[in-house]
Amino acid sequence: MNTKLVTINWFVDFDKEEKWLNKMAKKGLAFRSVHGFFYCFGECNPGEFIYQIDFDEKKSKNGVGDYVAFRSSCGDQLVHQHKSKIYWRRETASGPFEEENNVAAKLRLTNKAFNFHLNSFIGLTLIAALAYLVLLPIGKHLPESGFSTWLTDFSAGLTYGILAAEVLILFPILKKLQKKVNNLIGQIF
Amino acid sequence: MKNTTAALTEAIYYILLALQEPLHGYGIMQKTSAMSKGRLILSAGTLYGAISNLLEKGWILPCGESSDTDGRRKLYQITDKGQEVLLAEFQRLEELVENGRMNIKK
Repeated sequence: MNTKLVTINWFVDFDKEEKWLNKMAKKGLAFRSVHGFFYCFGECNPGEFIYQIDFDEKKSKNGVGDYVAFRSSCGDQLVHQHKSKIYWRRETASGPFEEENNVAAKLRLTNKAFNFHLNSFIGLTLIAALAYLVLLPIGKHLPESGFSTWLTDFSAGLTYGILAAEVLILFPILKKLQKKVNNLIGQIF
Repeated sequence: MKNTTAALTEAIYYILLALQEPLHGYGIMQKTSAMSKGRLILSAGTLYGAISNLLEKGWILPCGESSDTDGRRKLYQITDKGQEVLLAEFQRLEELVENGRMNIKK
């Protein structure tokens, strides 16, 4: 399948991204891969495929094996994987991935998405802490030079950039996912 | 000692029912859908977690691999412990139905 379209887009909310991919598939554009902001699509019959965004799980030690291998053996097609984020596809004729009213399945997916974003939050916080507590003091203590100025500016910029991204993007999405998890738990009990 | 006192979820009940004979994951999905006349759709993602839990509890066990056109797939089968749990749940459901039959005013 040749690439027919490369388009730029960016999502933090995996629900919105999944809806967009399914909307594109309905128009005859089958998602192939994503690299940063660049989404690649190939041709397909309009509505031929449906997509699901999921997150990898730790390999079970009790004999069920690898998550991706298991899902693949059940007929789901792995389209693209970026770290633990997985894009699955199946033919629309095979039926939906999940029942619309399957609250437990929605909870499982939302919980995985929450953990995915939480890990990003923790990772970025550690990078910001490293920049602020290690690189910035080093830059300030070095004899004044072009490099020390660059290091100071770079560490400060990195720290504030990460904090801004966390406050403006990651924190709201974590809050939204937490609310969704609580709502789903409320529907179960 | 009883294995569990909590009611089984519909998905777990159907998975245990399906595993009265050795089946792989995809087979469980198909059999469950057939038994519930298409009402219960078990996704592969949900099934992975359910099988993992059932193996941990010792209610099912791996019993070899099937080799078909789609490649090798692990087979699972219900254990004696799983069968006990399933039977207990069946009796609980029977009691619910029986009480419903006697008490619901039509």
